[in-house]
Amino acid sequence: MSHSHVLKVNNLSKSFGPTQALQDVSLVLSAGEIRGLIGENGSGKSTLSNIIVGIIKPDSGEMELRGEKYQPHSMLDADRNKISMIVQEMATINKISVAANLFSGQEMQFGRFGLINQRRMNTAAKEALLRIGVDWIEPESDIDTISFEDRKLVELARAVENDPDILIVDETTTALSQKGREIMYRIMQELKDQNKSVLFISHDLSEIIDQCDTVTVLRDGQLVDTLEKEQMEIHRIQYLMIGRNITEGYYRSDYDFSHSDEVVLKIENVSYDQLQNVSINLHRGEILGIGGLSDCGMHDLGKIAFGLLKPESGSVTLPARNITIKSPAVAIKNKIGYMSKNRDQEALLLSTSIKSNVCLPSLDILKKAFIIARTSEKKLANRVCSALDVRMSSINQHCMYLSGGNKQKVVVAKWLGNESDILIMDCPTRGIDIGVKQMIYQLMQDLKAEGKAILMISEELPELIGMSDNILIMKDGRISASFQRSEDLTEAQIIKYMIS
Amino acid sequence: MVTDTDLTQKQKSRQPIGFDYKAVARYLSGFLGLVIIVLIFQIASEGGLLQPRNIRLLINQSFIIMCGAMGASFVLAQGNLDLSLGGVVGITSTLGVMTAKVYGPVAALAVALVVGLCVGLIIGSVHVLFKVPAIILTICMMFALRGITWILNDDGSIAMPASLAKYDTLPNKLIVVGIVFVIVFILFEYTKVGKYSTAIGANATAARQSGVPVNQMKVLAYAISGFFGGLCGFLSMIRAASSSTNSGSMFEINVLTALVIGGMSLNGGSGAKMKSGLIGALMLAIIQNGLIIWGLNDKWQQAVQGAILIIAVAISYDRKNVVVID
Ligand SMILES: Nc1ncnc2c1ncn2[C@@H]1O[C@H](COP(=O)(O)OP(=O)(O)OP(=O)(O)O)[C@@H](O)[C@H]1O
Ligand SMILES: [Mg+2]
Repeated sequence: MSHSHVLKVNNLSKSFGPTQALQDVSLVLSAGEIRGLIGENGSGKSTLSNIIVGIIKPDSGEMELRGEKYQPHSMLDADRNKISMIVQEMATINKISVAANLFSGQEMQFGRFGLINQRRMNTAAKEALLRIGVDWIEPESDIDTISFEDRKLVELARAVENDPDILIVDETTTALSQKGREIMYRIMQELKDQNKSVLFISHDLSEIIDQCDTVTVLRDGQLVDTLEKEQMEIHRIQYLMIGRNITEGYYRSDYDFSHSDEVVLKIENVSYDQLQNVSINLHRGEILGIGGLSDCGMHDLGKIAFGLLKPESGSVTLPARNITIKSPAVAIKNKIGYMSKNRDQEALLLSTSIKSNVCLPSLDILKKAFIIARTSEKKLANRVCSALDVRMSSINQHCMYLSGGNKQKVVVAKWLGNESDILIMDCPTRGIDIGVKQMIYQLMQDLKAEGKAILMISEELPELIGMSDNILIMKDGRISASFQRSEDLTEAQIIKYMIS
Repeated sequence: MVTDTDLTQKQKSRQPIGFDYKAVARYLSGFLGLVIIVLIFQIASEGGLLQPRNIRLLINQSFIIMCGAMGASFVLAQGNLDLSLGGVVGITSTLGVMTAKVYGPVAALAVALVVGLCVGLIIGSVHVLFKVPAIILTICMMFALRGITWILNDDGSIAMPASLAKYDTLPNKLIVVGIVFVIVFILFEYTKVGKYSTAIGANATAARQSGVPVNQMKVLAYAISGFFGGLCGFLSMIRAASSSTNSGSMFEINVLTALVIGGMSLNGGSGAKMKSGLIGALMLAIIQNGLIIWGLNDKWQQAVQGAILIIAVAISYDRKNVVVID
């Protein structure tokens, strides 16, 4: 314990064009501390952590690491200084193996005469994965073939392998199911026990309160306050974050079991990969929640319902119009919308403007004869983006420059503009701050009231319990339980049907 | 070291540190670049460049490339290339001459357009159905069509009926370019075809999930490219008053060079601008023309053009990481 202060950050500021992302932020991270970092979408959390690992250079301000001046030039530089980060976006490199990802940049430790000993690298990768308690990922497999969650765990293994003094976790738990989260929490505790430090970014307040020793709140790029463990209290943190109290009724307040009997989307005996004979009826005005562990098949089910995956057997139909959903184009034509969980890769055109992203599924609505007028595109984009309070410089800004949560808002905005009758939402509130979460929940209720139907796939039990008319729990490709909306439903009742 | 370079690239795109040569290149490969090139060669040729006679020459040299380049915009927006265009011009100008001899110019135009369209449809369909990389298909198609062109021209050339020479006028050329521009401009900027194509180039998976019929659009883009390639074949027949084994040779490279120096992104996506073909074709003509005025022979010209293409591609290639604000 020679330096109880590991990292000192002094008066950091950073702006991107007109956006002041960080303003005069100072904080001190102690050895053996798990520090939470929380704030609205676009409040500067990722900017701060990116500066600490050298991805971004600050406009002004400086940092001190173990008492010495610290100016990282790249993430590798930070790695060498024993600071590792798991970034908010996906950081694995496609088309190469899990092992190659784990050791990218350090392959030569398995090298001889310039050749890499693949077998030794795979063995080391297997060990690295086992060290964090992951035994189900094969180091030889192509990274593209493993799930989104597993890729995040590979990144975690990679970070841990570097034996960091400081681990920064940027919004990673939203990509993880319960199992993955527990691994993450355990690693964080282990680091703490070794007198190392963690900077933990999350929008999940209860997770922050459970896991962190202290929590720092950012608002509009400024540091508002840092709370000690005993000061942490949900409402207080919420207030610090958004500067107002979140009113009651975060989730739905009614407990009526309320939807029409009309089936709008019928999934019949669908089998695909591990999914076996799954049948689901989605009704008009219903919010149907589907929950389970992230590898239970529910994400594939969402894709099948939208025509993205072709089931091996079974069918997806719209009974009222006698239409089979064979492709996303057919689905959209019939007013079905789909939000992928994999935001950057599947739901957004990152190098394209917010406006183009929002309008893309709605071009058929916007066009007159065959012409799509600029003004109608702008009108639509402005309308839905302001409805969801997307923090952007303008609708012409490219999506890649948005904060994670604001990207998610663009995805939601896209389908809001599309006036879909059926919405398939896969983890709709991933990475979204509490204020906007409330907004999206309200939106879902409004849509329900208009008679639209929502299929909500979620890994968050409170969200499932809080919003759904009916909940289906899946395990190993089958529906293992179903629950009706009720005030008495608890997480514990549900969890046992999710795990073996 | 993949991560390191990856990250530095990301970093660069986020905040240009120091001299951002890509930003400069971006401005140069567009209208401003055209102005600069005009100025340079105007001065170097002591005013010769903008002589009416020379302007006429420039238009003669570039108008067919303009049409081809504009037609290929959709393919490029999707992040693909069409290297079959030279072959298309060869075969359609040859078939055009043969048809014109018997059935007249209108039939010749119709044949050229339909054949071009069919070639595009074939490339697109094979690409989509058999998942063969499109660029390889277009190269194969180019060779096949060149071969047929040789055979049909019987190792020589076929003369066009002399009566058609009257269509080879400046106003006609300007009208054709104008019509093609209007059609492609509207399709590209104001219809689903253009918007879907740029979306595919930006991220095909996300485009599909937003309802873009990716495969159909790919076929359509090659069909459009082939269709305008057929038009180019007809135009080249009128201009040369014949077809020959050489008709259309180097055409695909000229189109590609024009697009790239005109500022088109080779990765597709929102970096794709349809005006690139127009501006780039003029730039290319001025450069070629200037080199002639400077007295470079045509072998050297090819070498110089190759060098220009390499530089332009090197500069524009990773546009995906560079944001083009529109
Ligand atoms: N490269 C960039 N170019 C322009 N603006 C940027 C860039 N990176 C971030 N910003 C802007 O800076 C602000 C802070 O972004 P940051 O990513 O730090 O937010 P965040 O707190 O991590 O939010 P989230 O919870 O949504 O991830 C946002 O308004 C964002 O749009
Ligand atoms: Mg962030």
